[in-house]
Amino acid sequence: MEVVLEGVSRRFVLKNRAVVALRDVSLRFPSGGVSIVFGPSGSGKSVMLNLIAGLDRPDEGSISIGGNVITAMSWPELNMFRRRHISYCMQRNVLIPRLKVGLNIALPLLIRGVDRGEALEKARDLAEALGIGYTFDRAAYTLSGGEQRRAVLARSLTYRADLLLLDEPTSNLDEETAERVRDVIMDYYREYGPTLIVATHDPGFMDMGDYRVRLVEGRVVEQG
Amino acid sequence: MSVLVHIIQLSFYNGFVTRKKTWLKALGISTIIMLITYLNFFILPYEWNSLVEPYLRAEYDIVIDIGHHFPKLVYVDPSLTQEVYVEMLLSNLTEAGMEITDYVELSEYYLREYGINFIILSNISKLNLTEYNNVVSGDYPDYDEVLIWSMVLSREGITIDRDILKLADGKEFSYSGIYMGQRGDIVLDRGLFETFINETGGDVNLYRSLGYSLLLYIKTDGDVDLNLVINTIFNLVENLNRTGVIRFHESMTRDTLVRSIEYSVVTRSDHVEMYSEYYASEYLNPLSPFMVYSVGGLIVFITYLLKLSIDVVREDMDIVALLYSIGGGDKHIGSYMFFTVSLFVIPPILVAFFGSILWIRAIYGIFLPYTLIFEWLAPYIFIPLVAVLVGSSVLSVLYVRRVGLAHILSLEF
Repeated sequence: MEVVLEGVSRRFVLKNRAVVALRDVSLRFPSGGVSIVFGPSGSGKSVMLNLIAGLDRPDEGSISIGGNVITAMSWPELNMFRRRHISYCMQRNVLIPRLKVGLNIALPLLIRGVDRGEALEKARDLAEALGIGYTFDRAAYTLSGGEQRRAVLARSLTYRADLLLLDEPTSNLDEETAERVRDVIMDYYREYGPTLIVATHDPGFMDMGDYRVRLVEGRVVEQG
Repeated sequence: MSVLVHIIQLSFYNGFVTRKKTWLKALGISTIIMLITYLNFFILPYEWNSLVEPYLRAEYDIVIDIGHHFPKLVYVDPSLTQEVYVEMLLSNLTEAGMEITDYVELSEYYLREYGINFIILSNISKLNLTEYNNVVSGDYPDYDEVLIWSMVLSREGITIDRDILKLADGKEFSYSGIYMGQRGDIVLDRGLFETFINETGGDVNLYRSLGYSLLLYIKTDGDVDLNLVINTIFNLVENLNRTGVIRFHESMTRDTLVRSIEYSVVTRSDHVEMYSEYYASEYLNPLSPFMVYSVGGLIVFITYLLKLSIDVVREDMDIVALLYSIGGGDKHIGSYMFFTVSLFVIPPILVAFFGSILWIRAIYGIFLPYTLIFEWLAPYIFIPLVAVLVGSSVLSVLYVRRVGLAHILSLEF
């Protein structure tokens, strides 16, 4: 699914101070390709992914995914679209603290009505692949930062999405683990062929991308 | 269903397991609020206390609610006044072997034409009811002459102000005091009552005959024999019918009359239960102290629970955002908040509710009838629950829509 941003701007007011997170951004992420968004912290990468995921709305401009203008969709339409087409690994490690890691990972499948046993089996496979299989039956709040990161990533890889958005998937990970994570992501990509957009500082991703975008202070300063 | 089960599981962890301290706080505050609200049941004067309890304290053994069978009789001879009927009944009971040592009459006169109801308390002075001075205001050392206006006037043109009763033509009756019951009743003396009836085109003599409802409290020296009383009343009524003083209503059979009389003759404990239910159902006047206090307490309670639920919504916003981000829709988020808040507020409400009932029983020695609990007190459970659960679910979804998930996700960029 091609992702097209046209003249997208997003502003916030933080502590009575206006912050422009994205300024007139126009981009075209190729369908079925791997796109890397990079840039310094605060450059607007996460805001861009939030907007593409439909979790936020731009102040100006439009976003379309596979020809569907998500910025024109109603809230319920957007929810449905997200469920059908998008998987998003947010930058924050949001897990449900008291829930077991396995169930945390399986949640997207459970929400989609997949049988519990099947969902947990899929979750276990992903946890093993990402090296956190031993945490599967533990409560999420007992995990370290790196383990949480992988659990969050695993959760976003449980189902086949047309558009996979990953925000700093390898942050807080050592290089060896990061490489393993990258491998799992690319395995997913090869198996399902989604449009993959990764916002990252990780140089390990740079060579993987078909298309790269560099953001600085909310502006696109380099692409191609 | 599977999704719902998992949502409930999720809610259980976040509404219950991880919030023990807040839960305990909610429990404590809910209990206090509910107990304070219930205090009015005992502190504020109300009819059940004032009209029934004094008789019980005075240890009357048996209560005859003659009103239950009056509507089934047609009075042919107007000489059969309440006084005459009661005298006949007491005389017949004595002849039948009941040793009556004291009695009290309490009658209610329904003036259906005007939508008015009077309660006439007579022979009250026979009781040593000092409590009554707290109930009836005004200078009425002798309660034989007290009338209590106990229902709102429905006849067009008649209005009732705080101290003045006004007729359509402007004529005013000032009355002597306010009966501090739950219905905002006022106190009239008999002279004023008669003047009022005459002025409004009524016939005082009608109201001097048998009342629509007559309660007769009897104290006996011997054992209480309900069957004896029932048979005596039945024989009296049949005798009056035979002599043409009354006649049975055409719809009334012998069986219905007997059942009516059986239902009308009760022991003291039965009467407590019956009247507590009856008066509970009467507390519909929105301006009565009882309702103001109760509804006020209820509003405070709901507000408090809503605040709690909003806190929960706020605290759980990252989870709400997470649920949206992994494909959840409004129904998932609504369900999550519903169950989370359910688990958060139901236990305190239930504990507070049943705890306060036990408290009432322990402190006051009063066991509230189950029907009273579920008909009257149950709103203390259901109204807050429905309001809070639905409110929190809708609020959470509306909040997300209005604020946007980007703000909830701490604006990370």
